[in-house]
Amino acid sequence: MKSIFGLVLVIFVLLILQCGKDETEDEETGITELRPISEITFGSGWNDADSTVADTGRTFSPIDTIRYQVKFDSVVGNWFMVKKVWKRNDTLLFSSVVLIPDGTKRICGEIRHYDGQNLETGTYKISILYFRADTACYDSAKYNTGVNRNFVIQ
Amino acid sequence: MNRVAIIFSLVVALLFADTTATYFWPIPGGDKIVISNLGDYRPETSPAHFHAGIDIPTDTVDYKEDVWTITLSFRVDTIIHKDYTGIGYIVKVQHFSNDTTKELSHGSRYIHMNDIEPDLQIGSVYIGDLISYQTTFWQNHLHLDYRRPHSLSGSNVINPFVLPILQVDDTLKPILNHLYVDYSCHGDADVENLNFLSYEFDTLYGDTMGGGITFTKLKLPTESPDNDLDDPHILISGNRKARFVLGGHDNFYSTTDRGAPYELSLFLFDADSLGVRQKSYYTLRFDSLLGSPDEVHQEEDVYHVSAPLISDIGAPQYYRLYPCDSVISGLPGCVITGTAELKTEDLDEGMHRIKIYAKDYENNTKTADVHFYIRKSDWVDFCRGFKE
Repeated sequence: MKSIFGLVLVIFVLLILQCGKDETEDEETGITELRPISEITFGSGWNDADSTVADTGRTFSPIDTIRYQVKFDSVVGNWFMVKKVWKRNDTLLFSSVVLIPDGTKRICGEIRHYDGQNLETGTYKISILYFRADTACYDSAKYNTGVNRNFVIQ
Repeated sequence: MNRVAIIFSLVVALLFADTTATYFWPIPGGDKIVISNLGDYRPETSPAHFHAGIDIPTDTVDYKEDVWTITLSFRVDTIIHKDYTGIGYIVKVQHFSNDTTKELSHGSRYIHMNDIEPDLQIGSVYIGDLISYQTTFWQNHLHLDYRRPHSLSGSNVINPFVLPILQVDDTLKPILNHLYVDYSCHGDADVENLNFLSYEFDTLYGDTMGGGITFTKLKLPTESPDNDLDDPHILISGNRKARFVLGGHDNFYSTTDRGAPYELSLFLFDADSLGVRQKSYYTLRFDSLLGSPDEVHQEEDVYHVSAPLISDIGAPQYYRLYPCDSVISGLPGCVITGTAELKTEDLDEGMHRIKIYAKDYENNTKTADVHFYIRKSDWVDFCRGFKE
């Protein structure tokens, strides 16, 4: 009886560790069957005409809002949940989820302080996590070669 | 009882001498129109109550109609004189099989007739008889409700639309006017417009205040399929505890009639072990009402009856999309089929989306999507998907 209880406990702990690892996973390895990220773009502006990020770059002067675009390299029919994890100088800032409708080719958004103050200087990095139904955990997305995930405020 | 009716009833009885039951529209030759249905809220009466049946308008020529019971054979169980009710005669009948040999499990009640057939006797069984001949009506309509089991005190009121003969043409979708975010009575959240990228969501219609409660009123415009830019977008901060109240109603035949949507439901788009799906939280459906205590007390479970959103007869009416205290404390939620509470305060930081369905008995469905960002940190990351 004790050994069964111990086994269940070990499995439970492993499951918790697995989910915890996925939440903060920052390696560029991921789930190949999920949609790889083909491009990430950062910018300070926005094109209304075609709904794309404008004034793109990797380094920005002090500014209160940075826009971003994440492109997927395939379109999958199903809805999926994405968690974006933001770090500055390798320190976790926050994470936020968004539900992606089927047929979505890209997501666009903007990161900023709630009170509108300028972003602090440093190197910002975005990580994309997918929610996996089979494990009920978030897994790191796979990024195609050369995809940039950083921008710098200097 | 008039001679024609007697002859007719005898002929019908001969033709249908069996243990099945034949059903009729209660106003012969009249248009199958209703102007109110089960669940329509009636706050003007004391105590306020759900409407227990359907209202059928009279013709507009002389406002006189014959009234039949909805089954061929029936026993009169109750007659309440119009001088006592002040709203016309009340006649309650037990349904029988056509040949009167079998007592059925249901009965019906007819209200508002200014005259009834003088020889109707309590306890007598009739075949194919009128209960009222060319009568006028209190407020020019017949009220009909359908009960099962009939014989019990406090019997269930069943939605009359379950009987095909009582179903009416209804081509109009329910109306969803506004969504109200209750962030002060049931929470202490901050609610504001969520504008991002270049999208200015003209979402907030302003606050509605009174009685110490504040709601943020959101526009629910005509929804375009696959276009989330016409949906309300809000940012919820503070303690993030907010609850939703819907302002809306149902139409049946014209925009002047008013009723309760047959079913209202609240879903959250969520991800779990079943994948991304619409997870059901709160559903209310007007299938039936329990006995009189529930008709009296359950309105606060469904309708918002406290200031500043006080449901009134007509439109819109205000429906809670969360369990209220009486449900939590164990009173039966006779029309509430799903009582899970959407706790916005427990959601992950980020963008979320709810969907509200309002459906009538003919399955005409109106939906509304509402997007909201739950903010827990000092940061925000507003985001949306694009298909091109």
